[in-house]
Amino acid sequence: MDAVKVYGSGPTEVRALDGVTVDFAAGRFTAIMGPSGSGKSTLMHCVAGLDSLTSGRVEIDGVDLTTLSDKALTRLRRDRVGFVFQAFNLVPSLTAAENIRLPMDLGGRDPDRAWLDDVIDTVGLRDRLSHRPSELSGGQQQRVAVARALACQPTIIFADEPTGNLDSRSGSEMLDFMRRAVDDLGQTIVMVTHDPVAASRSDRILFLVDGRIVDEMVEPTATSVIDRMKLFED
Amino acid sequence: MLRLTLRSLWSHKRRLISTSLAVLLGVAFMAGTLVLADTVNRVFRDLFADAYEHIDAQVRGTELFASEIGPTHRNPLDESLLEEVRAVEGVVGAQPWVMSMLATMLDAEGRQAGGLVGVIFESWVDHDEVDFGYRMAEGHPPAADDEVALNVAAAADAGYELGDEVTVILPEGRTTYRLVGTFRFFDADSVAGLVAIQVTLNEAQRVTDRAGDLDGIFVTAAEGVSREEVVERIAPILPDGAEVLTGDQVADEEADDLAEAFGFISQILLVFAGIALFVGSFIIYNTFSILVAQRTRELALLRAVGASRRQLLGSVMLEAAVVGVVAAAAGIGVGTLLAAGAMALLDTVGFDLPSAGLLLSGGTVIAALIVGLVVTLLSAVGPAVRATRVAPLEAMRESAVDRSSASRGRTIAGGLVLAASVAIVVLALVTDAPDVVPLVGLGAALGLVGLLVIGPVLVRPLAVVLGAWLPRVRGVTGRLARENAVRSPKRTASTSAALMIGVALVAFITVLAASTRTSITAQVEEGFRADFMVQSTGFTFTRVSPAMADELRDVDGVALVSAMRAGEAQLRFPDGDSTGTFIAAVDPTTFSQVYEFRMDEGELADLSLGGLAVDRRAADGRGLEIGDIVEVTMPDGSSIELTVELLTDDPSTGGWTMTLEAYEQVSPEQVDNLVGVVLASGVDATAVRGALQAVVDRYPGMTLQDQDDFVSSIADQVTALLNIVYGLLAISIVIAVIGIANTISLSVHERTRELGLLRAVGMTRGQLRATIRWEAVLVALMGTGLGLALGIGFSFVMTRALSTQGLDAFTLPIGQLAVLVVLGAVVGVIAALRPAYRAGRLDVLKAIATE
Repeated sequence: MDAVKVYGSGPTEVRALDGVTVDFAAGRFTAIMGPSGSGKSTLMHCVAGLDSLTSGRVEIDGVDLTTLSDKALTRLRRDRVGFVFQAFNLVPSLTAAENIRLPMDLGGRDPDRAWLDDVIDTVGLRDRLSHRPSELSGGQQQRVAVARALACQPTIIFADEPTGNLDSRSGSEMLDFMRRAVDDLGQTIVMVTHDPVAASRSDRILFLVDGRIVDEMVEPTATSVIDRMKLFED
Repeated sequence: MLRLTLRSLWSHKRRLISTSLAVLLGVAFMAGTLVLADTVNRVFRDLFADAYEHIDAQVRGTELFASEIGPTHRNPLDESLLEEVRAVEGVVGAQPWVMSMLATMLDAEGRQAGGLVGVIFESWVDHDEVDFGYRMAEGHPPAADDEVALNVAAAADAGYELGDEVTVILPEGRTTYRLVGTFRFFDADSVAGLVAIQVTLNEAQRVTDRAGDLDGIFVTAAEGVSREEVVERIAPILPDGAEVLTGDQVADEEADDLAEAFGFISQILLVFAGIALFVGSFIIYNTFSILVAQRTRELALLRAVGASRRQLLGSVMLEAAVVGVVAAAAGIGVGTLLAAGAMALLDTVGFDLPSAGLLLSGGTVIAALIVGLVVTLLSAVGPAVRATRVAPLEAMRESAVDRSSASRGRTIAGGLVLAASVAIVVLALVTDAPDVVPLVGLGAALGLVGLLVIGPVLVRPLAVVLGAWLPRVRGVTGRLARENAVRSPKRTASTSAALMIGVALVAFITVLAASTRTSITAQVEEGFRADFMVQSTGFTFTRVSPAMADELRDVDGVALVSAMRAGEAQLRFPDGDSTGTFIAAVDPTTFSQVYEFRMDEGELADLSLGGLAVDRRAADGRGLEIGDIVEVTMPDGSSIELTVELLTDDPSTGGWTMTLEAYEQVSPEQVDNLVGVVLASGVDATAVRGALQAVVDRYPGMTLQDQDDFVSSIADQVTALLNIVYGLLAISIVIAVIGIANTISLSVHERTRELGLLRAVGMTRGQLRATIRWEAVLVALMGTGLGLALGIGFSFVMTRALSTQGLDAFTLPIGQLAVLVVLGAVVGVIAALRPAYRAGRLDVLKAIATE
């Protein structure tokens, strides 16, 4: 909502977000695309409560994030937001199962067993639960990360280049899971990516350039995304 | 390469600060001790040089035997020698001197006056003939037998002014003098708190019961006659048993004696400094290991672009050398401050030294620098060698962290060393060799080495046991803390080892002290028969005139008073060996009603006039048997031959006991060490106590005790010693805390990205801090646990080894040991303060972005 994020000031000032207003619809899979430095990661970090805005507001479930203390923000991330990063998603000293339960354990919450079982089956990790991250493949690790994000039934899940470090088959599997989480489990997912194929699996794509939303596309296909991107590269 | 090394050093200077601190503290302890020793030494050397500045020669008796507590015992000089010395050509002044170290002075309030060094009771030396260095401040020197002069500080501290009555108590009696003068030692009011009481020669001889005898003759040589010449001229006229030295020789000798006494103290301090440095070496080792591991990629890159192994080794070692030298230099500075603090402390407890400018000798500086450098280099060798093993290819891999855990070789090697330790200890306990303590010491050293080697193997099982409660109580933060603690078992092991050493020593002496206390208490309770005992207060060696026993005997309700008299004597054994020691004397018919010695052979009541009771341990040590003859020489040179008649089995005898009757005949020094009072039957002890106390109050330095007081006074003495040792070990514990803090912060730094992730998925700052805190607590508890095991184990072995020496109880002071465990946990909390604070302030986004 008219979100502005400024790094530095004066002549060196960088407007990473320059008046972005966006609404992520519940139960939908949204992708954010844009060239490097377009502000797409900054947008996601601010919306997810990892970073603060210079001006403007962010609301999740009607709560204005910009008014929250660090403690309240942490709690919000724990209970209402799920994260999937490009790499290093898991705590190496915990097993897959423990990693999945981590946000709930941190909050001292008991997981909803039936939901947890659903999630684990959805991502197909049942036989890998007692393994540590170092014993899992990159794709499996990312699936554990998705499972963790899903496990606490968050309002919204943010995924930052979740397939960036994966080979194309694992990447595609990963997108399947995210798709299913939205379609079958009714989750809301926002994914930052620069991969047109990945973006084409979403319901809606936002294009970000120089901190502004310059375009959007609904029901995209890989070809249409690539065509659209060509426009911005000129 | 050099520039690169220095730049790298600078880039992680903050991480090296705490390493330097570990070296710094150890070196400071050592340098402080050396500075203190040098300073005190020089002060005393100057003092004695001053004191003998105008004394050209001193005639004195030849040595009889060395004393354990005071000046050497010498043959007395006959007074007639004075005139003969005076008649020697080249002698213009000769002054007689009599002194006693057994005097007590009362202050204006009737309490014992004087500080640590004590009281010297002397005959005044006529300064017109020999300049003894005493300068009158007020009044005049003692001229009549009822007059006394005191040094300015002694008079002021005791609240005396000219004309006041001053009471001096000697074993031979109590005398009151009139204060007629005060004086300074040259220009000093006080020297180390000494109380110097000056009376006339006649009075000094009378009151010490030595009419016609002298302790020394001080000589002034004529102008143009050198000190050596005057000594050469006096020597021929001296009888057997007398000798003459130049003033310089005597000054050197006395300074040497004091230096030796103080050298003993500084050696003990140096041992503790050594422990601190040893503990510090673990910190250095750890830091360099971690830094090398974290820089694997950088090192590999250097290798890839052509740096040789030798260059890498040199680079890491140079870094260590810079740290060592800088830290040692700072340590010398801090040590000098510590020494200044110690001097100030000595001053406040009454040991004031004149012109005590600190002496930082070149030797101290060099020794401290070398020790700091060598300790740092030795500790860094292992990590440096590991740095050279980095393969160039590793530059391409993910940054590596040393996660290697227990190799089989390590388990086997550690196990073997531990087995050797156990074998040696068992051998020590089953053998009947006379002194197994060195063997036990070797076993303990091997035990420590074994634990250090096998440490990384133990980390995981220990974490499971000691940290079992963590996940349950602290949930996922607890679980993470435990997992983090065992992530790099080697690192955790060497971090906790530093604490282990300190805790092991603390546990060892705590248990040993408790056991000693139990043993002594048991013995006392077994032997204590009197209703009351009178003995010297605390650690003072005050002994008391037999007049006190006589006064106690006159108190209504007292049935019996029996004393243990004690004095120094030289014993000469059948094999020709001799030793200076304390010998006790008791009335064999009554003393058992006061205190019943545990006997090994014979009954005390059977001890005859020419008999000697020897403690079993002393007899074993000297190879004495019943019937052997021991020649006993008293401080005045008189001697008696005694036959070994009885064997006692009781350390409280002190080893050698003769009859009071024989002692009274032969010894010039009649002072009681311990006086027992038995009340008549049916008399209420509380009713009589007041009257007894009134008597004892007239003898300052003595304390009236019933059995409970007696036992608790022993306990107090053990506790006092224990506290000193705790204080000396504290610095090692502090270094261990720094070590844990250091390792934890380096580990936290390594895990930045993981911490960012945890924060992103919802870990609060508090939870993050708690994770780090509990990790530190667990590491600290591992060190504490292993230290406790080691300390308790070897204190047990030690009590077994010393059981024949009278240490026959083994007591585990559960309360104190529990406190130690709690302190161990607190150590962890303290160590985690800074790393946890810094982790809490971590910027989540930056942490996630960290490569």
